Amino acid sequence: MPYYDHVVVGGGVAGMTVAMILAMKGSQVTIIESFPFLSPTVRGFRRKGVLFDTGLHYVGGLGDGHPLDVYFKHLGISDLIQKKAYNPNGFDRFIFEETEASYDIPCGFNKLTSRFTNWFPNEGKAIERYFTAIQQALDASPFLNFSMDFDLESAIHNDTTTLEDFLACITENEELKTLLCYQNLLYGVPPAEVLLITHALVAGSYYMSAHTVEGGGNALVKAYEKRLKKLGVDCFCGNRVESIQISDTREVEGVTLSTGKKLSTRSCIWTAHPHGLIKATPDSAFRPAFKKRLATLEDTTSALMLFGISEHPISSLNGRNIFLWPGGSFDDNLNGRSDQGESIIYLSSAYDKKSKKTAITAIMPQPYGPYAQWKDSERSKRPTDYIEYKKTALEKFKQEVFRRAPELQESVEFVDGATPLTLRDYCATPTGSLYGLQHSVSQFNPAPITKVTGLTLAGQGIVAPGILGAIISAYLTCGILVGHDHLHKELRQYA
Amino acid sequence: MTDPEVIQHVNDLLAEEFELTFDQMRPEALFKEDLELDSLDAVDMVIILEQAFKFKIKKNEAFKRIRSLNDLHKFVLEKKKEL
Repeated sequence: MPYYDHVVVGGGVAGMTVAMILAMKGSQVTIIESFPFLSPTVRGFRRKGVLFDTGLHYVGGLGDGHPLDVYFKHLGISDLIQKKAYNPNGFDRFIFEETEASYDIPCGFNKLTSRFTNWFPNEGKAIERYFTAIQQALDASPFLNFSMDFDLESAIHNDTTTLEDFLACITENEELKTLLCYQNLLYGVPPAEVLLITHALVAGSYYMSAHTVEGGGNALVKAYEKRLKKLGVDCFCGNRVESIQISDTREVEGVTLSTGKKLSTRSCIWTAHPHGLIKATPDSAFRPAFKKRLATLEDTTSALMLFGISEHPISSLNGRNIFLWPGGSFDDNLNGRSDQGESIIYLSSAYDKKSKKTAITAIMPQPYGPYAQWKDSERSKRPTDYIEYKKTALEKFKQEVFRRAPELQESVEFVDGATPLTLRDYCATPTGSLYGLQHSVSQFNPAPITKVTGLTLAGQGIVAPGILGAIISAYLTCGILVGHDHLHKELRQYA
Repeated sequence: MTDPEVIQHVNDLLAEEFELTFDQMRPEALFKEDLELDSLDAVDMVIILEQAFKFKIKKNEAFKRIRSLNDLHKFVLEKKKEL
């Protein structure tokens, strides 16, 4: 039976990062991924020769010396990717459709403070307090500020104020509040439920700098694959982990794959959705309380996505994203209670060098509920009633996009789309969630360590959502395995 | 449910979900030292109590300060009064 020092379950960004860090330390590592290839969500896909992004549209904190840049340098993938800055004077354009007021959000705290104060001259104090709070949260986080100590305790947030409560304390201006919390779409939890600290880590990273990667998520995944190969990490794609063998003394002994292949190991890092852990472990591995908790954890909502092609770049989307906000509440939006006409739309574009065309992506939050009736269907063999339902939903969404962003009508041809069912299969989350487990004030997500020796967890659901969140979680878990101080010292060299 | 019934119910849950014996569950028993339940278990306990008593325990509550079984009983009784 082959032996590995570490078996990583799940080949997304968290899993690939964990494998890379451990292999860099000289360990024999393998990744088990259920999809036929690594990182299917971030990798994106081609239609009609054009590359579309599904998991990476833009990332925060990739500017020189910023956190994601430091992580990528340490992982040795910085030289393998070419970063591309979003427009620093307005990487996001937020449009209030009711009033047609439009705001371009810049990078950099000084610029943000002065621009917001120009827009809301009577709210100077509130604006100052907000951006100071965000900066303080970034400075206090050892995951983003490498001069801080990096340990397990630091993953536990002591500040428990919600974003909504914080905003209510600083201002009564609803338009300002909306502009200060729209990033909840980038982690999928409404302001009343998200902790200020979680919001600060996500929104704050974009306030630092906003980038994409030349060639999109596809180029990022290829860079990861190149490094994994060089480091000698074995990847078993198209394989699921059927079971983890755990001894009577609650220690990991090995894993069995869906093909029947057995691997011997003392360390298994679970980066797949935490729900799957119960099925993969023996009944006696965890106490009833832990199993109940894993089963009740709630995910963020899913989405509808449209993928379009334009022969020419769209000027309004050049170096920036657009958020079309019809008003209403983020809570209704994110919980799928809004009709399409009342739902926020996110628009993004990317120039594809190979085809010399521009790929346009439109995303709208969408609940999984109506799609659950087809949950037993496979990706390539969907029943006709689902195909019809999807066609109708996407056509309606397309009309909505053209109605609310008429500048796209002449130049964009939508060629494909994704529903919550599609996303369930690509993201490997039970209900098609893009960000996995909710990070909210009322949910206690699993810790990176478990009661089973040698069984650890990493991924979006553990520390924070998104690519940066997945990478941070990977470092935290690897710190538990190889020593935080040691790993953090290495990171500091690049900061 | 009377207060003693609530306390009994809490103890029954702990026995079942954390595999504890009733001998161990003296009111002054400390979670960490006497019952060997750590911060990982504390989070599991939140979910068990929420499901059993139909209240929500948010992160911004006094739950973190609970040290003994008696503390937990008091916390649950308080939360039940808020319902």
